[in-house]
Amino acid sequence: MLEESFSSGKSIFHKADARVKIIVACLYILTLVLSYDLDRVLILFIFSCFLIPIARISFLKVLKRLIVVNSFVLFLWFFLPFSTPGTPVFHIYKFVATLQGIEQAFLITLKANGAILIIVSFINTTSIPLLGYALDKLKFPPKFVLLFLLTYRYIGVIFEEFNRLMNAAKIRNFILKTNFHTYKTISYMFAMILIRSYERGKRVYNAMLLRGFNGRFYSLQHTRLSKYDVYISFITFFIIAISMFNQYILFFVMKLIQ
Amino acid sequence: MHISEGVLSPPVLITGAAITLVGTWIGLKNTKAQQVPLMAVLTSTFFVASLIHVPLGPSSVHLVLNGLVGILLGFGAFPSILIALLLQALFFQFGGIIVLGANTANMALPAVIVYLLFKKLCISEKRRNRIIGGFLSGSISIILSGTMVALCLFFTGSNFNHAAKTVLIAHVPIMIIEGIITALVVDFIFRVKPEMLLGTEH
Repeated sequence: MLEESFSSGKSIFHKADARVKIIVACLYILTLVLSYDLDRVLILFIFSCFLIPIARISFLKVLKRLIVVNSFVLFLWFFLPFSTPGTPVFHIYKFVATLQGIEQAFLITLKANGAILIIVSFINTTSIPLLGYALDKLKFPPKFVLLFLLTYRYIGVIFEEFNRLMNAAKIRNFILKTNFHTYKTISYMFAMILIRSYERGKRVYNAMLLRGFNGRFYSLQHTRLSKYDVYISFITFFIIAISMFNQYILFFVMKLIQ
Repeated sequence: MHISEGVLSPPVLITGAAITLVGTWIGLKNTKAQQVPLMAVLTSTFFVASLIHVPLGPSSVHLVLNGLVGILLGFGAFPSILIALLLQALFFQFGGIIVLGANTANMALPAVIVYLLFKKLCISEKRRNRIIGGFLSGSISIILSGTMVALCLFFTGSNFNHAAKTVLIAHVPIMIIEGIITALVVDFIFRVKPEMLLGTEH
């Protein structure tokens, strides 16, 4: 049920080390999120669009992912332009849209979408288990890493279990409706899954103990930093630098043309 | 509701991240190594809950169940919800990485609050008390979450006030459903597997 369709590939993003990717992606997103200057946000956003072809990910699949975030952004578009004081641009009925409001909504749109493109190209090009080991090497608490890996492992199992119970109920003519019967059935189904999960959790722990588990998962992949890590770090710092000094660069280019 | 990246102001982001950091630290400290696999299955159940849509009138809402996570895990709700939201951000692009702290705080702090307030009621011998305790845990955690999301938006800028109010109003119908479902789940678990709620190992 959980697609990791971006995690296999042969681009520089796929070959780079997960630790490096996590750090540079966070830096990139942080710069994007904390920029309030339209030019700077635009530059950071446009470069984030170029990351997708560099990571050799299909745009179509990414667009599907963008729908979710844009439903929240759309929600804000209904309010922000009309509730921000400033110079009026147009009005619908008695609601006046202001330039400042539209600019803020536009900035949020760019930032939200840009952040997704960065996550998809940097983080989603790593499989979840590798990501867990990267968190381990980045000195996240072992319990946290273990929780992350085991949760990932059980999501599929539990989702399947819920579907199984749901199908059994459907065969008995259970139809989801807005009534107490539906809520009761779903609650009991859910409680049953929780109880089974609880027992499964205990069994799993005992099974792990038998195999000498000491509270930590070990990765057999001894990753060393490679040239690809240098490439993606360079790309990121290049983009951040351009966005920071965009005015100087523009000034310099103008001088050259003259 | 997950707030997307690029909306909140730096002070709000930092406050959210700080709450999540402290909560997760306490949560992990209170968790023994042998409880981690157990916590993981509950976390994945919480993750799956967000994929289950329950009909409500002409529309449908997905389950949140952060109150239930609070009742079952206590402070463990923080690491649990943090990881569920991290995986949602990675798989479905809900929320984001920098805003993860704020999103986690919005859901996990109410979970811990209802745990502190209503845990006793949820494990009462009287069925009526358990139902009331469960209903209050489910509904109050949702309305607190809604309030926190609204406050996050409101503290980011006063021009967010209409959006913030709408978010809060949208949480009211969800609050009732979550209350009913949490009450029934808590009661069911108490009758079938009480040690899950009482925390007695054997």
